[in-house]
Amino acid sequence: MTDRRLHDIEVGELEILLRGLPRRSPSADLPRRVFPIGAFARRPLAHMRPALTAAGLVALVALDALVVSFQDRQLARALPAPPAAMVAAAPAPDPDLSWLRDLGLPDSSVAVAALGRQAVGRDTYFSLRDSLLANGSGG
Amino acid sequence: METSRVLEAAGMKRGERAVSAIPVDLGEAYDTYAAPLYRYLVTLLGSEENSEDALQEVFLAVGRVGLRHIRDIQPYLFQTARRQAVSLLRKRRRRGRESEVAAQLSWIDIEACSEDDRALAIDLGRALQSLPPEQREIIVLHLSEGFTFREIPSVCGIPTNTVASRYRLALGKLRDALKGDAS
Repeated sequence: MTDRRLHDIEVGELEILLRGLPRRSPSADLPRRVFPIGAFARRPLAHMRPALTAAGLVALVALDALVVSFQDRQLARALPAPPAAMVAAAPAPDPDLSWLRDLGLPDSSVAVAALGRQAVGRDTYFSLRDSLLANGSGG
Repeated sequence: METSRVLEAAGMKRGERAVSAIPVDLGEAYDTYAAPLYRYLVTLLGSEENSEDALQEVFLAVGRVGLRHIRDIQPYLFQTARRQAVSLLRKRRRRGRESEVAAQLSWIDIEACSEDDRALAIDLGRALQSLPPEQREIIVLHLSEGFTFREIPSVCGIPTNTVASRYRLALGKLRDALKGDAS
């Protein structure tokens, strides 16, 4: 037998009743179970994470620069020396670089180094060679 | 009907609910949401012990994910609680221990009711627990925790229309159950 107030209760009244009854709460010691000591402890070095991240980025950039530099040196070594004909046709290196100006090459060119069989970048080497061929000074 | 007295006894405002603010830490999240989640779990599981275990799992899950990675904390907490409850109910079913749910607990705190309202609260609690879980959860979210029908889909993963129809069906069943007991 239910409480007399529930006899012939309408849906609207039922909603009001259900909203109004006291509501249960978790036990007072539940927080100690939910947050046991150490459960949410930060991992070792967690407080240093931002600094470690920055240091790691710097180390990566440095390593990348080292690798690029090493690859450049390897590439330079792998380049063949200028063709002997080109070297033979070229005038002897001149400290004032006037012969290069005669060929129409810029002073900043590393032509002297290339013709002296020293290592230069691949692009520089081929642009130099093309310039020399175009001016009829090599071949 | 002395509903106003019942409301006064409850010491609560109508439509009172957990505030969907952004908690700054786990302790604040617990203070805001533990009680609503607990009532939701108790109503689904019918057991205080299971509900506290599930609640612990919910907050451990939040701790593992990290509060700042959770965009909307309230649906996340209720969804996680729901998954825990469904998992526990499945385990019980597999072990054939569904009778354990006969504890008939709901969000209603019978001990806190006045002497006059205690029998009424017991009847309502019993009628609530006779509902299928999918209807019971709509009732607890809407009537106890103040979720609107538009908010409930974010927890239960069902369309708003289904929420509304389940709610109407559940209230009708409750009324019928109470009338049935009265006869």
